[in-house]
This record gives sequence, C-alpha cells and structure tokens, in this order.
Amino acid sequence: MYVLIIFLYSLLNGCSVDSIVCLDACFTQKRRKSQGNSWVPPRQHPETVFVSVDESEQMEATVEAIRPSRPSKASGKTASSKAPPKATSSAQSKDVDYETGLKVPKSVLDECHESFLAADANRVKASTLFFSDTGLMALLCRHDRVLWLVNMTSAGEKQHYALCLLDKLFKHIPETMRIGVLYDIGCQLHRSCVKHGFLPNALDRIVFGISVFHAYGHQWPCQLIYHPRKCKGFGLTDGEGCERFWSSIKLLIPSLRVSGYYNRIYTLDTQVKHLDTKSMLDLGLWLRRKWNNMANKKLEAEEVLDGLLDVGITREYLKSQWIEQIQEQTKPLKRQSSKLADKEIFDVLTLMKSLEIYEEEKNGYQKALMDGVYPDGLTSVDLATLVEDVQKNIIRAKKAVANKKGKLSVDGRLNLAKLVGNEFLRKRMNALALKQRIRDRLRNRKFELTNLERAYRKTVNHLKLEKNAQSQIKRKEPGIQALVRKYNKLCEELKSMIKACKAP
Amino acid sequence: MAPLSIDLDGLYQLDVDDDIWQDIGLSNEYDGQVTIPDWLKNEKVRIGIKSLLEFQRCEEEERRLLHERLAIQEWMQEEWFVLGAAFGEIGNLEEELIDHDTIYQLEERREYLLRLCVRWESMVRGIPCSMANGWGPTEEELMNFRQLEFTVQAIEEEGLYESDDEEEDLEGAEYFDNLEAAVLIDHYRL
Repeated sequence: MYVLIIFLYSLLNGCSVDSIVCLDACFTQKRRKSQGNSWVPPRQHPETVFVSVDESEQMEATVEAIRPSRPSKASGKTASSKAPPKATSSAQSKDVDYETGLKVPKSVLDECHESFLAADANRVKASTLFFSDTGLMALLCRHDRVLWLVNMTSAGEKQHYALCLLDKLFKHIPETMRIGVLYDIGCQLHRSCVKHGFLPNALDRIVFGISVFHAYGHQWPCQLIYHPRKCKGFGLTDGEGCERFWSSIKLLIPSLRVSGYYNRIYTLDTQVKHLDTKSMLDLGLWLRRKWNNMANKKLEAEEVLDGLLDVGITREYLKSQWIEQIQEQTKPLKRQSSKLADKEIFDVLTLMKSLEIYEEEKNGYQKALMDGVYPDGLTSVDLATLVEDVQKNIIRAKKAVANKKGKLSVDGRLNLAKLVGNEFLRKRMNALALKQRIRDRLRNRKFELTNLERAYRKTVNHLKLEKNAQSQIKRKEPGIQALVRKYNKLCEELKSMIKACKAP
Repeated sequence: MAPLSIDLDGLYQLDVDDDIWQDIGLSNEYDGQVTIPDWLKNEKVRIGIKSLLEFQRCEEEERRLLHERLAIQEWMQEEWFVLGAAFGEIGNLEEELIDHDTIYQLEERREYLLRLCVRWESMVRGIPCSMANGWGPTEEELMNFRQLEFTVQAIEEEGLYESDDEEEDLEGAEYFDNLEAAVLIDHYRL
C-alpha cells in the first residue's frame, strides 16, 4: 500500500490538487439472494479493500439524519415527477440563482440532476427483489489502482456510498493534501456536500469534476466548470479508471452472482490484489504511454497557439476571453428566463399560425357561398355549418392566444411583437429549438449505448441482446439525422437572410 | 451573426469541444448590440481557447508525470537501501542467530525489486528526470537480473499457450443473466 501513497502523493507546486481519484458505481457486479438460511462463517481477506459494512451504514445514518430521504423510497420515477415543479418554481422566483459556494446556477444543476435521474431509472429496474447485493462502488487513483470498494445493497446509486469512500480516503492522507474527485455526477455530489455540509473536514480540499466520457449528460454551463479538460488541475486524467476496472473484473460476474456473501467479497479482494500486482509491474509502461500522449497533444496545441500568435491573438488575450466566456455562459437568470419565455412565445406563435389557417378556411367557404359555386357535393347548408364550425375554432384559438399573451412578461410581449413581424427571428427561434432537441436526442442515445457498453458479459444471449438494442438505437438515428438536416437547412436560410440584410 | 451548421461527421461523439453545445447566432442576447464578444463571434478565438485549455492541461499533466517519474525512482532507491540495510544487519549476526526464513523473504523481495526496476527503468528512459544517480541496484546487478529474467521468460512463454479455456466453464449463472436480459429486452422493445 505504501508505494501507492508515495506515488499518489505528488505535492505539485502550482497545481490546484495534489492527487486525483475517480469514483463510479457498477450495477452488474451483484449477488442474488441466497436460497438457504444456513449460517455462513464470516471470513475476510487480510488486505481487504472493502469499506466495512459498519462504516457504510454509519455514513448512511449520518446522511439520513441530515437529509432524510423521501418517504417513497426514492425510486427514479417519483423523484423525477417531483422535480420539475421544483425547477420551474426556482426559475420564477428571481433571487434563487446560485447556491452559495457553487459556480453553476441552480437551474442548470437541476437539469443535470434530471438527466441522470432518467438514466438511473433504467438501471434501477435491476431490483432488490432478486438481489441482496446490488453492485459495487469504487474509488480509484488516477493510475487505475483500486483504493477502496464498497458493497452496495440499494437499488439505485445512493450518495452515502460515494461519501463513505471519500471519507475513508481522507482519513488516510495528510491533512494538507488536496484531492480532485472525478465522478459521473460530480456536480451533484459537490452540490449536496455544500448544501448539507457532508465531509466537513475535507470539503475545502476537494475539487469536484465530472468524468470525461460522461460529460455529455451534463448541461453546457456545468461542463464549463466541472469538465476536467476545462478545469484547472486535472491534467489529462480522464476519470474513467473505474470503467476500466469494471471491465477487468467482468469475468467474475456470473460466478459471483450465485456465490455467498463473504465468498464474493473475498474473490473480489483477490482479484484486486492480482490487478495491483500487474499494474505495479506496468507502472513504467503507464508513465511512458501517458508521457507520449501528453507530448503529442502539447505539440498540437502549441502549433495552433503559435499560428494564432502570428495573426495577433496572444495567449493572454485568449485567457481573458475564456474567463469572460465562463462568466457569460454561467449567468443564470438571463438564460433561464429567456428559455422559458421562448417556449411561451413559441406556443403563441403556433396558435397564431393555426388561427391564420382557420381564417383562410373560413374565407374560402364564405367566398364559395357568395359566389354560389359549391365545391364537390356540398350544399349551401353544409357550407354554412362548416363556416360556423370554423368560426367556433377561431374564437377558441383567439381566446387561447389572448390568454397566453396575457401571461407573457413585458419582455416576452416585446419579443413576440418583434417575432410576429420578422421571419428571420422566427426562423432563428425554430433553429434554436431544433438544436436543443438534437442535443437531447444525442444525449439519450449515448445513455442507451453506455447501458450496453457497461460490462455486460459476452454470452450468446448477451450478443443477441446487444444486436437488438443496437438496431433499436440505429433505427432512431435517421430521426436525429433528419433533425440535423432540417436544422442545417434553417441555418442556410438564416445565413442567406443575413447576407440579404434582412436580419436585425 | 450567422448560426453554425451541424456537421454530421462525429456528431454522435458529443465531445465537449463540439459546436453542438454552442447556441451561437441563435439567441436574442446580442440583438442590437454593436460589440459581440470575441469568444462568441471570432472563430479563431474559439479555436484558440480550446487549444489554450488543452495546452494548460498538458502542462499540468507534464508536471504531474515528471513528478511521478521522480517518485518511482526515489521509492526504488529507498526500498533498495532499506533492503541492503536489512541484509547488512543479518551479515553482522552470529551464525546460530540467523533466521533463514527471513533471509528467504529478503531474497524474494530483492528479486521483486529488481524485476520492477528492470521493467520500469527501460520504460521511463524517455522521460527527463532531475535525479541522475541511479535506481539503487548497481548496473551489474541489473544486468545479471536482466539476463536471468530473459531466460525465465523464454521458458514461461513456451508453456503459455497450453491452457486457455478458462472462459468456457462460466455458464453456471446463466439463469440470472437471462432474467436480467429479459428486463433489458423489454426495455428496448418499446
């Protein structure tokens, strides 16, 4: 163990963290309920990497005491159905934008939370009905070595597991050591630590980040702050060590699923031991690989920067621009309110469009009546009733428009007025809505794919399943592509309008 | 300002540096404003910021790697020194006090450290290091061990291709896999 600590403990001048760890949960490493009730003698690996049940239960109790979980055992569905009203209410009251100590606005964090809840809900299905141990959560250092594991018994990814792993780590390191933590939902963990005061002795020494391959699930402002490639101190660590660990122990999935409690833990410990021995021998290789990778990337980046210097863009200028960008793009109120207002306006516009269609229809019928030229097979009586029907629709639509308009803010009404008279603005709004939809679709697709990638064992069944799911996802792709093409067409139109000086 | 069109190539990567995240030219934030900030308007600046951040991360990574490179050498030196001290202590003991089990353990440790040293040293040679004075073991010790390792490896590798059917007999828990598969299939059938 001690070599690890030395290797880990790189006190670096000018870096914001001394060492980097990653955290992740895995729900394929589970164990079904034992059939018999016979007593099994406890046994433990002498150098176990598991956090004891006591410690994890203690942390659970602490978390429960500070932040009681909702009565309905926080299943994904109830939680997500509860969250939206919360989000809108926060958007309406204008003073709630940042939570103290956090750089990302509250509304953005809420959205991140939503998207991960949705992803998690799919996993929760692997119920506690059949399984008594539902998975593992691991804490690894940036060299992909296991520091600690905790056995999970809950249906979903509960926060106290992550907290007890971090707590364990901080009990083992010097009191001045600063740690960068990469986690799928690092932003959410950060948020609850700040909000509820978890890890009181360590929080000021933690820099939270999100793991690179999971960043797509987060909102852009959140990525700005938490993405390890955008955040100071993380170097090129990707935070996917856990993912690699899961795949290296996936061959144990079937046998551990039917093993006894102690046996499973013992086997995992042994496997971790084996991986440690292997990785120890290959530390040199690891360093070389990382070094070469870094050197290449550095060269590339430097070339670009030097090229820009030739056209007068200095690094200092870029730095200041980046700071400006962060400030601008993490502004909460503007973003949120404009987004909501846009939706309202969008609704009004659609209503007005249908109103227009109704009017046209009515005019058509009335003209026919006046001219006495009845279209195929219709009598004047038929036409009169049709006109009446359309008239009813018109009245209804008008009411709805008035209703919606009344609800708009002053800005909203101004915006609407602008939009009604301006094709460019309308097109632009459509394009924005489309882009948001494309992003959502892409994100969902990635979530579905990772569900598959996640360490399912390669059996015949599995292969079939994979094929099935992949074809499902493929089937959705034309949809995305069509959306993109539609979006690009709008972009072209907008561009030509700008050229023709029709834009404001 | 014109909006950016989306490139279909690489769209599904959803990389953090992709333009798909940016709503450039799509919002009304800058309507009527004369000055639009460079990070939004100027493509060169946008690329520059990405490269700058990448460069900064590389610098951090470089510092970290250099440090780690140094750390493994220091650790090796120290371990080797401690091992030497332990052997020295034993050498000073009288014959009947010597515990041969301990000596065996120390020999094992010695071999382990040499193996690490040989593997590490050859790998990290390309990474600059501020510490020049060796890893602990002498050049001769390393040389001898390298030769020994090479012979052992050659023997081991011959036997390596004989048994490789470990993965075949893992079908025991198929039932539960199927059960889970059924749930997942249901999920995708929607």
